[in-house]
Amino acid sequence: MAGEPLLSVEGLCVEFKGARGIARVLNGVSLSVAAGETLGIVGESGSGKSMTALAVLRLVPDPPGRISAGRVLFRGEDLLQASTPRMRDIRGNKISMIFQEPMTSLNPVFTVGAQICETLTLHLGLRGEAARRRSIELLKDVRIPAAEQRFDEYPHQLSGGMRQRVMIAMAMACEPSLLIADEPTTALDVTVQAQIFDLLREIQKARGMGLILITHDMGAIAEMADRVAVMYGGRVVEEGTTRDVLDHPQHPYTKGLIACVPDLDQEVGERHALTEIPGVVPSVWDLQQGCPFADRCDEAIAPCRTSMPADVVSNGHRVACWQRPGERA
Amino acid sequence: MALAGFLLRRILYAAGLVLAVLILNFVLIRLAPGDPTETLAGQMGGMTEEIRAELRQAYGLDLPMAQQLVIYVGRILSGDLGYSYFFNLPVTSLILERLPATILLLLASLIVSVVIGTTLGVLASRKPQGLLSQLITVGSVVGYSAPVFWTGMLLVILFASVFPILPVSGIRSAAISQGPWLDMLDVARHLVLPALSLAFVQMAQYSRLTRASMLDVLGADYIRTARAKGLAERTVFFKHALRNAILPVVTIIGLQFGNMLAGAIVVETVFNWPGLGRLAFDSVLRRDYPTLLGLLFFSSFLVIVANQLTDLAYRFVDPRIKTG
Repeated sequence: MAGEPLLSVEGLCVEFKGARGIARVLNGVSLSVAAGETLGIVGESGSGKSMTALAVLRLVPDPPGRISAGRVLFRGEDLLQASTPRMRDIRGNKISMIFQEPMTSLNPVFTVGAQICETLTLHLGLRGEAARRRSIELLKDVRIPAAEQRFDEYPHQLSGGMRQRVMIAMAMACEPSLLIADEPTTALDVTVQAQIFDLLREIQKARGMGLILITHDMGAIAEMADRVAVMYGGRVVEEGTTRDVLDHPQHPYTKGLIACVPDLDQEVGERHALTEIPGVVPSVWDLQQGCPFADRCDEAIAPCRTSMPADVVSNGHRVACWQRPGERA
Repeated sequence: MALAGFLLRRILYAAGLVLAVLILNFVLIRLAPGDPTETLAGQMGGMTEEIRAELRQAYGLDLPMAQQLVIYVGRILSGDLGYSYFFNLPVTSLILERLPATILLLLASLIVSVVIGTTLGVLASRKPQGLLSQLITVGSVVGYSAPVFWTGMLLVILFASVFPILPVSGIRSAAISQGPWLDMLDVARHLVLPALSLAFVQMAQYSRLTRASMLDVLGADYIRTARAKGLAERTVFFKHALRNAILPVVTIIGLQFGNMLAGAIVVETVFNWPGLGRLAFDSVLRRDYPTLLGLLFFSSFLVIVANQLTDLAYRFVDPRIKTG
């Protein structure tokens, strides 16, 4: 870990109230990220990745959602205890977020410029010409061609990649110390994905910013992340340096995810069929006691179905699995 | 320029529509059994076939229908809507004389219903399960179900006998002018009840629509973005959400204009408001066909103009719409 954690999440629980009772979508999530570090959060849809990100900024839709337990320490301050005005001061200013859907994440009835200026006015008090100049600088920083002209355009006049760049420009407006990118490239073309990743890496390097990259793409993790947290069923099941986790995965779920990545280096004739993890992510309503992955796990043993294994940590590599005995934390 | 082209296309399209309405009205009246000379004969206590033939010739009723239509359309194009049987005045001047009162009534109730209706809708969407939201929903259903004449009559009873603080009939109290400001105040006082009873139904619709539209918009990704920026909930609500949620309301305003005009007939009759609606009502009773036909033409014209204005307004509120 690169020094003091910038953000550390401890035992975060989020519950949703629904017709079928209360569902725990996050069940004791703990992770941390340091300044200048990239933490990748990986997992299938429904594993709680996005919910973790929303909970950090306290943007979980309430009702029906509720953060029921845990701590979110940002530079030592517990955001879950912070007042609403304090939280507003942090959002978009100290911690920014970009989302999966660039097509719908910008307000269609305001110009791109107006939406960036809004953040600048809100947090930095920039108005009029000053705000305009700064916005155009930001648009140029994210490599938007003809930035002066784009400033006055509406989101529908831009492509998906351009809109995601606008989102990044907006997120960068106040030079945040932490950026949460929730599947920033999922909706984009492969070539555009690479450009967005390059851009994020460059900005992070220049600003020494912490970055949480949420993705279901192991390739993106390998390329971008210093450390990785694997999530399943609202829990972090494995966490460690990217090298460690990718080369020596401990949890059967992580192994499964890595096996699912198609290998393009093999000759066409020698490629084997794509691997998949049998079954689907359990619905949050169906979570039983025990390990949430037990039903899909081919290594499952009796205790897996009755109680959740505690974290085992060795050399900064953390795993929660009954098949990995050791000194339990 | 794109806007000029758009306007030109729109005007051509509207003109075609007016012509179609004109022909339809004309043909509908002609398809109905009977003949204006029969009405005249009835009023005169009978007439000979010779006189009737003469009259038919004088009115041009002996010509083929297509030719009659051409003459009629030609007259209308030159601004001539014919003569009223009852007033013996040109229909055009009858309409123009009463137009300002109706426009005043329609605009007043439009503004009241849109402003109050959308505000209630927004309030109701803040806490969709809350007490205020439920109250507004129930109120909207009641308001929407209550017929205009009934609301009007209740208001008349309330303000004529229970709290006699507002005039319940006419547009002016005294024929003698008391100076422009007092006169305006007088008209405004007379306007309150008719405008409110006409606005009531519309208000209910706008509040329902705004509530539904707001709830829809509040779930959008860009609302999450606005919150993630650190904006206050008030700004998220009234700037980011309402600006989008208002779009369907704008559409409905245009579509509702025809209904408001129909409502004006009832309201003007109940409150003795000297506008087009009361003229229409009286003309039906008097079987004053030229006036009726003129009013039908004129109201379709107004509805088409309102719809065109809505389309135009839509281009300004929704930047995504750029092609006519």
